[in-house]
Amino acid sequence: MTLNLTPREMAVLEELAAAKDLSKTGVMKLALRLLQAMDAKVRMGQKLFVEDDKTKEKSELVIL
Amino acid sequence: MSNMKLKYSKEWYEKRIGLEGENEVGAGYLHGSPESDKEKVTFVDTRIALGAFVSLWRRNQGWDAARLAEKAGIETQEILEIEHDPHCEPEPDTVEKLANVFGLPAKPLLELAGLIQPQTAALREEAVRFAARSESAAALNEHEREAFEAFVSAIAGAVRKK
Amino acid sequence: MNVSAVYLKRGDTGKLVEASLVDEVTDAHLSLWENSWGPVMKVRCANRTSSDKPEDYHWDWRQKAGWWRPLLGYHSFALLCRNELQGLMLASDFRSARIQMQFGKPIIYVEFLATAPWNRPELKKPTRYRGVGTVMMAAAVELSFELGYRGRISLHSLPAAEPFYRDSCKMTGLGADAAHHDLMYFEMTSSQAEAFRQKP
Repeated sequence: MTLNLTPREMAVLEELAAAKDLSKTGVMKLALRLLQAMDAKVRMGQKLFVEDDKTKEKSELVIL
Repeated sequence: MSNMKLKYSKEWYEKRIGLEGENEVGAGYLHGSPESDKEKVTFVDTRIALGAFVSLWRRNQGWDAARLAEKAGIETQEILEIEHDPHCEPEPDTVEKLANVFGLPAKPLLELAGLIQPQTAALREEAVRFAARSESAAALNEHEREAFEAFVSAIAGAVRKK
Repeated sequence: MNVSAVYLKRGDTGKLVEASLVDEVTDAHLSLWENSWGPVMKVRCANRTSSDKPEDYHWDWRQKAGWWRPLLGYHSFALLCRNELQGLMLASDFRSARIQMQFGKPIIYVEFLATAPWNRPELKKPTRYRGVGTVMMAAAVELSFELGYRGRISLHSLPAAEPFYRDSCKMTGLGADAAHHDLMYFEMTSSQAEAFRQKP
């Protein structure tokens, strides 16, 4: 499978690979597994939230 | 699935396991936490309680399984399966006939048998407590009688509260 | 499915015995769990109150398998010895490390780890086998290396198991995690993982 990424997407992929200490393939695989796991939780009726560490304010992450 | 394989030497295991000593090693959710509470009482647990209840009920009457089966108009084998095999799903009709003999409402017993959706959390928790307290000795001792009578109240109460 | 030849130690003699680590929990393993762990747990805990029972007394591995199996990010392990199930572990691979030196880097997270009731000092002495925790930690570390995570692993320890992770595995404790029932959160760094792989 060949991935057609825009220059901007490729830049993000490279940035994430460096930050996560993974290969670009490793990042794509991680993203796939994370998306599948979160999708499964949402399908089960769970919600995803992000929390501001300082204010403890939660907001729902409606991404899936 | 990974392609991972462990390739440690015997000596490695000898030394590493020595370090493990007599420690406990579990990791994950704490008993009583919301996550573990969700799966706390399964239909296997409540069927174990139902089986214990049927057994104690008939022993309280001084009946063997065949006598109870005869009174209920069902097969002795069905009684034995209910009493001993929580993975076996009884027929709704069988449970209703037993409820009739016991003089108890059928709905709570059907719930314990896993034949209808759980409706009363309190009943399920009572069932687990009862199952833990009941023994399978021949005659009811005082401890069993106490547990048995408490559970009968819980079953009867499950219908009244709704 | 991969099978690794590993060793456990007999609790009575201290001798090593051959065992097998399988990198996938199958229906056969779940049947062994249901038919062997369940009844022993029930008998040994019959007179205990709810709060005195082992933390995993009500865990339903079959129910858990129903949701993890279709997901790529979950890895399960079964440990067998003499055709008996000695341990089970479920790990995920999409969480991130919290220790400053590896903050944000992907880490293998041990979701659940349990050993058979006859291997637990709280339920049976002497235990039948020792080493289930060691083998499962080795599996988590190797999985981490295999995925390119350089050995990083993490978990929330059940209270009685903290000495094992802190003292035996030399993991770093980051304190009780209020977001996870106040269980102690441990991480193993890459260098700690390299040290773990060496003969102590």
